[in-house]
Amino acid sequence: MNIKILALILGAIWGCASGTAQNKPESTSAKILAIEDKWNAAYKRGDVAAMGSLLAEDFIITLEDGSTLSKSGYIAHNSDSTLHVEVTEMTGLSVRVHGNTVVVTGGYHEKGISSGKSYEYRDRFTDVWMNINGRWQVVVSHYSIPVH
Amino acid sequence: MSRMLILCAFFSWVLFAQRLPSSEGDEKRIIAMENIWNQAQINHDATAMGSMLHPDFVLTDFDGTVMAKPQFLTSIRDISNKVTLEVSDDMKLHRYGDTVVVTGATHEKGKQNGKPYEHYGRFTDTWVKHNDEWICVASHLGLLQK
Repeated sequence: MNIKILALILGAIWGCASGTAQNKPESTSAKILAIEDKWNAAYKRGDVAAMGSLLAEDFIITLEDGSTLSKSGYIAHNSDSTLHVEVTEMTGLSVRVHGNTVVVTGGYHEKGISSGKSYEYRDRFTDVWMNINGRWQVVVSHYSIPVH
Repeated sequence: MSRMLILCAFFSWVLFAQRLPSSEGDEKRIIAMENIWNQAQINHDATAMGSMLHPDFVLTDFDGTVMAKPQFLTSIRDISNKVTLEVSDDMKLHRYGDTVVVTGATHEKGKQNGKPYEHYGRFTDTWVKHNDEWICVASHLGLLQK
């Protein structure tokens, strides 16, 4: 009887421990995917405040044309009143968790009008997120158009 | 009181001086590894390349191909691609504790199945300190439009 109870207790402890170990990276991934969506939505509606809260102070982005922008440069770029983003879609997202650092890769499709001219990008991207003082923020992004 | 201030200043300097070489050492180490990376591509040295990559490494190449570590190492071994020049330039390191992001420019020349090519691009590499060693977890390469 005692052995049976002990086995049940050990089984329950093992179940909890393995459940925690498996759920932790999953919950981080889910959290990061939700923030990616939030960033995407903020970018589409040109919400500077929301974007500002998601970007680390030292944030750096490499854009499709190879130019690099800091956080302030990126926000200024997206505050451009002649830019109207119509479509922003992320596809095939893959999340890799390395402790406090999370790498997201995927495909990105953007369509819109800039200075009266329509444009369309089909990119590949890499975003790196870090947990800074308990808050997930993106530290670096690289967007590029595949060249064949 | 002034003696106390001098002591505080001295110990602050000692602490600062102790930290400086470690951070600088890490940055030099990562730059060196970026250069070893380039040499490993030229020499088809998958062993050297593999030692610098995390098992869950991911590479996004200029043509949009996404490769995990095994696929990338296979591409390094591929002798149908002969890289004759691989230079990184304008490298900037952005440190966040035990994570360092390197952004930079790259110039690559070579022959793929006998056909010459030349690329100018921008890259972003993400390095993480793991068991006291710096290993690359992600790399992204995009070409500059002509």
